[in-house]
Amino acid sequence: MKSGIKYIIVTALLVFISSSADAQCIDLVKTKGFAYLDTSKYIPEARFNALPLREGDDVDIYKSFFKGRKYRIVVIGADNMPKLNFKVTNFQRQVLYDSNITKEESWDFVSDKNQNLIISVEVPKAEKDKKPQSGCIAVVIGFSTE
Amino acid sequence: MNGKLFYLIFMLGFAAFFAGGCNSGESADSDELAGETLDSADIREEIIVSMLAPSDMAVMLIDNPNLHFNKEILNPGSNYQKYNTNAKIALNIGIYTADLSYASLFEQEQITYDYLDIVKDMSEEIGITQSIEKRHLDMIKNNKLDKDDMIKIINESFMNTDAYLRENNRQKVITMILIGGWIEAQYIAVSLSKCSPDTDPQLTESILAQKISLELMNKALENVKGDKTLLSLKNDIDKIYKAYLLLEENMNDENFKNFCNLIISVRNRYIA
Repeated sequence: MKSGIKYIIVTALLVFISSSADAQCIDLVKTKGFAYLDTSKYIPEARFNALPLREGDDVDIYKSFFKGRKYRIVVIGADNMPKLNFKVTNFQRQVLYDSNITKEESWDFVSDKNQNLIISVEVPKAEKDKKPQSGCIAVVIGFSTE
Repeated sequence: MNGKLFYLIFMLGFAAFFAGGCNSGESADSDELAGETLDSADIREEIIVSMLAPSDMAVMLIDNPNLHFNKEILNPGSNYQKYNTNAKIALNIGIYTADLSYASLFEQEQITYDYLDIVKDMSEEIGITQSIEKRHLDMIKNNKLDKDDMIKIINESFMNTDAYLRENNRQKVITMILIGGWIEAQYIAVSLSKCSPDTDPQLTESILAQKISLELMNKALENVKGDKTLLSLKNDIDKIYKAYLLLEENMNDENFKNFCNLIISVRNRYIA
């Protein structure tokens, strides 16, 4: 009976840990992400593009952008993560933007045509002999209605 | 040691099941809407196909000063009680979200509020417990908001749903919601165009522009195999894509009308 209770407590704890990791990603989007986006100028798009990654991992996000519309793309990570690199390319992998050059967390642009683009985010590898950190990364996209 | 390790692995698995499965609300037709586990502990390269949400779709298509609000083209709120499978509920969450986004673009607060309330109820019915927050409903009910503020609220609510479904490995449900929303936003657009490309050239251009979002949808659906519900939706998407190709080849009244009629027939089947 006692061990049964212990199992239930451990299970509840694990569920709690799992949920709080999930909650961190949405919090990252709504706090840091929305601040960088500047929601007084850009309406955040409704899709949730955030997930936990480790140092050395990467993610590609495929996304439609429409002609004449002004966008801001923000790429950020949790506080324990290193500064992220991101590139925006078309489907032929021609680079339209590279944060390695600008050193910025965001890119503002007006789409010159209707196009599907790829936002490639790379979490830099951990230093040699150091344990890779893991944490949430988020791509927050906003558009202007002006 | 081995016993402890096994216990930990078992409990982690159980916790994942508990976090995902028990809250999923997929008991009614669980096979039909079983979550697809795409994530693993060893992700090195992830791909996310970020199809347009119904509210963003509505903005891209219908946010046009030449258009007007027409309540008659919405899926009636009273219909929601007849959706009794998880698949129908998921599709119509997308449909109602597109409808309420259309209403919000024309600052129709009451309709936006009523439809958000319906979406909240339907979401809870399929186990989405973190979607529309009461404070969001209150903000729409108690404040005079402009369309941008309303869209921000709707988008934040949708993001909660999206995050909840992603975190619980219920990609299939979000895919169905997005397809429902895509079809409904197109239905509103073609209805406002009165099935003629000449009614409003800006609207026609916006309808045609959505071919690229359909291409992303196709990409998201390309690996669907053996799932009857998603295969049936994929079949609809393929037909619409072919109609787009015909329009691209020859943009004339007849092809536009055929495209329009196809959207109307698919949408009417989804809301039935």
